[in-house]
Order: sequence, then structure tokens, then C-alpha cells
Amino acid sequence: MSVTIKIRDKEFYSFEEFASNIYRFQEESFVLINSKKFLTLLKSEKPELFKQVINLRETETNDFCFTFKVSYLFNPLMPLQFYNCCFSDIKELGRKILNGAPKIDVYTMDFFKNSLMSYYLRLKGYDCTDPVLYSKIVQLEHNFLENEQRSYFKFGFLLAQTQKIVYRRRGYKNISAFFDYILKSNKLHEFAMDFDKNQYVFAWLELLGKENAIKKFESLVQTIRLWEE
Amino acid sequence: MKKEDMVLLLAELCSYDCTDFLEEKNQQFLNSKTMKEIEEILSQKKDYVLPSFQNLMYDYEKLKSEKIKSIEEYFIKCGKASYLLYSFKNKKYINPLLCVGEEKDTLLKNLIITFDGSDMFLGDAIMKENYSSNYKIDCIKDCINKWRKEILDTFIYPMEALVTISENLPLKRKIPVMRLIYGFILLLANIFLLIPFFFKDGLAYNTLMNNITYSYYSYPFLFLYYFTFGLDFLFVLSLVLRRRIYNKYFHSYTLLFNNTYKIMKKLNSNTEKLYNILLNCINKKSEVNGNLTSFSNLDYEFQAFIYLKRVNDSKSFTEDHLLTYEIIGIQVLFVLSTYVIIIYFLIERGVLK
Repeated sequence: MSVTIKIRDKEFYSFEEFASNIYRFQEESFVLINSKKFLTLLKSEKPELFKQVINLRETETNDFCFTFKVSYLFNPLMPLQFYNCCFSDIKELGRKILNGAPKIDVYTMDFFKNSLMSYYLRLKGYDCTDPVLYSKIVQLEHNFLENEQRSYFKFGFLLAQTQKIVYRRRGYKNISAFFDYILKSNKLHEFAMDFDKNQYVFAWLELLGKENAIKKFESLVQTIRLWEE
Repeated sequence: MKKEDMVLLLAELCSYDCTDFLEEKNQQFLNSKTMKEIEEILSQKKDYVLPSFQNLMYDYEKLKSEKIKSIEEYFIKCGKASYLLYSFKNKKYINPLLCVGEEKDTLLKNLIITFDGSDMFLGDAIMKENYSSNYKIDCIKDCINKWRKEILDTFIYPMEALVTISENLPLKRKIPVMRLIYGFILLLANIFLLIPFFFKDGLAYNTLMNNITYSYYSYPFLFLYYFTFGLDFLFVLSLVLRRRIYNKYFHSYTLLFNNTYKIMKKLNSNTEKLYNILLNCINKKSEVNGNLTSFSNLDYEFQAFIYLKRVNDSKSFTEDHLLTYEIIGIQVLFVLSTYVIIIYFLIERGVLK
């Protein structure tokens, strides 16, 4: 029996094909997957997948996570894709985050927040092939809510596998060169304006092992603000 | 806190060498608005000796004198300066049992006390809910005891020591040269008064002793006598008045020496009065009203104490109206001796009976 799944004006003739296009029609796909018609079709065509979808529906409360996970149930071989973005590999996602810095993409942020990165890596077997990267990603997801923006950029550095920060189109690999540029080239005022709000620099510094320095910085700033008040 | 400074701090904490910025930061700190404001407040209260104030002043001096060695230190110093300014502005140093000048107008409820580990207005602490009356009473007791102890330690006990050692104070006395010359001339004039008594049958002797009719020549003698008497009188009178009116040191010393017991009594009574008012407010859960005038009536004595202490500490006390009593005392003695001798002569010769 042939399968035809229709979203807007697009038609898909298999569940795999439908799955690989879910990221383009995130909201419509969610509605469709939950429709009685679709579930009946799924039950009759792929009863095993149907059971998995039903189980997932019971455990997953977040719509975005649900559709993302369903898409990989249908087609586990797909590259990383969500919310209109498709990445050939995880490095590309990392590069996208860093190239956009200090701006933040809320969909990517949502993706990390919902621990979908580790889900994807598990699906692709990274937990066996690159356990170090996998454990770092899990750790980052675990602590994501502590500082969402900083974690977001840390994901960027980690996935892009780089320690280079790009500021005003110039790349800096070490702290000294970066601060030399900021402090001695009349860029201080411009940089200072919102450096503490966007966490790009802090994420980079943490990556270079300056966690303690940042903690001390934050605690000092907090104390001084209290004194000033 | 400037954002630029925050970047510097971050750079330093990440091991970036910020030495080049330290001098600039040091100057910025010293010329900051906060430090200027503190300086202005302190310039108006140079002689305030209560330890709570002195501690704040010491902290300020330390902040001012020590050079900044790191950006982190710069931030800490800025924070400390802000807290110091807050303490000065809110008059955290005020002791309600001993206020000077305008401080007396401070409202009782606006005093800052430590309540449950944090700074709080006295009025707010008393009205604070979720704390038992007993807790508040204990807290108030602690505060009042602290204030009382502060006065005992810095005013009453040192005052007792001060009035004892003041007599031997190594004063740097300004010798009143003009007054000594005047005294010397007066002394000679008094000696001159005695001369006629040693020349019997002379004009002066006859004029004074024999009650003969005054001749034309006797008037200058009489004038000299009366004139010298007048000068003697003015000289002695001026000594007494100067000592009384102008000698602040003498005055302060006498005030404290004679009133030690009274001062202690006043302090106890003020402490009791303050405690009773606050206790009443706690029990009735009513607002604290009034200012500090009624508990703080030791300021006159306190200022005298500060003055004496300053003189003692400096050991270079000079006062325009302080006379060299030893020399002028001898002069006075001579003047008085002249009168004794004259009276003796007059009685012996039967002029005075």
C-alpha cells in the first residue's frame, strides 16, 4: 500500500521522506502526527513505529521535542535538522553559532535547552565513537539553565571544535592578544557597552579554563554593586 | 562601577597584565566623587573623637594613603569608599548619648543600629514584625550598652586621667614680652613709692606723713602715687580677668576637674532615659519620636575634653593669653609688698590709726 502524506502543497510518499522534511513544517507536522488519520495510517503501515510514537507522546510534553524525536524515529539516518535549519555535521552547527555571535538564535537555544543535542548524538552513536565530546555535551545540557546564553556559546565552541574567538572579524586564540586589542586600540568603550550581557567572551574564557577567574569576577561585581546600592 | 573598569577587572583576573592602568585608576579613585564627598564631611568634624567615628576616619585615611596595586583592589577600594560614604551620610557613627552641634537634631528613629546582623534604622527595628519584644529589648540593650561603653572608654575614663596629668603638661608657653616689661616698669614705680619714706623731712615725706598743708610741689608726688596705685590695680585686675576670661585651657581644665562626678551622673541618667523611652516604644509597639537633644547634654564638657586632649597630645600648646605665671607672680608679690610696707610705715608714723 502506498503512503501519501500531505503538508501544505507538498506531498511525501514515505514516512522517511516525510521525516526528512519535518524541520521545514515544524508546527504543521506536530498537528499532523497527532491526528487520528495519521496515527491510523502509521498503525497499519508500521505498527512498531506506531507503538514508539505513542510511547513518546506519553513521555514527551514539549511539542518541538516530540516532532524532532518522531522525525528521527521515522528516519534515523537524517543529518541534524530542526526549525528550517539543516546541518551536514555538528561542526556546522557550532560554526553557525559562533558566526552569529554575540546574537543568539532562539530556536537553537531551544534545541540545546531541551537536551536534543545529546539525544541526536546518542542516535548517531557519538556516545561510543566520541565519548569525551558526548559527556561534555551532556554536562553542558545539565548545567544549561545556570546561564543559558553562556552555555549556548559554549555549545558553539565545543561543536565547532575551536578555541578561537572572533571579534570584529579578527580571530584571537589567546587571552592576552584579545585583551591587548580591546584595551589598547580604543575599542574599550565599544566593547564594554554590553560585554557582560552577552556571554560570548565569558563562554570563550571558560573554555580556556578561566572558570575560577570568571566566578571571582562575578562575585566581585555583585558585591561591589551591593556596596554601591 | 564603570563598564570599562569591569573589562579591566576581567582582563586582570584572566592573568592579563594591567600594571599600565594602575596609576590612572589610583588618580581616578582619589579624585572620585565619593572620596571628595567624604573629605568634605570629614573637614567639618576634625575633632570628633568617638571611636566609631575615628574608625571610619581611619578607614578613610587608609583608603587614601595606600596605593592601588591591582584592578581588583581598585574595585574593592571603590566599594569600601561607597560604604564609608554611606556610613558618614547616614551618620552611622552617631552616639545618641553624646552628640555635638547639629547632630542633636537627628531623629531618634533615624539612628542606625545593628539589628539581626544588618544595619537598620532604629525606628524600623522597633516596628519590625516577626521579632519578639524580648529580642528587640535585648538588641536595644546591647546598643545602649555599646554607646555607653563608648563614652566611658573615650570620654569619661580618659577625662579622669587627663585632669590628673594636665598639671604637668609640658606647655610651650608664649612669653608675653610686653606684659613683662610693663610689669617691670610697674615694679620700679612701686619701689619709687617707697623711697620718700626713707628720707625724713623731705617734701614727699612731709606731704604724706605730717598732714601739713599741701604745697605747690606736693601735687606731682601725690599724682605719681595715685597714678601708680591705679596702674597696680589695673595690672592685678587684668591678670585675674585674663585668667578667667581668656584662658580656655584653664577653663576647660576647671570644668572637667570640678564636674567629673556630675558628668558621670548625667551619663547614667541619660542612658536610663533613653532605655526607658525605647522600652516603652517596644512594649506599646509605637513609633519612636523626638530627637537626641534630651539624651545628649554632655557636649559642652565633651568639647572641653576634646580641647584638653588636643593640647595634651600636641604638647606644643601656645595660647596668647596664657601668662608666665611664675614671673608675673613675683611682680604681683612685689607690688603687694610695696603696699604692705607703705601701710606699715603709715601705721608706725601714726598717719593711719
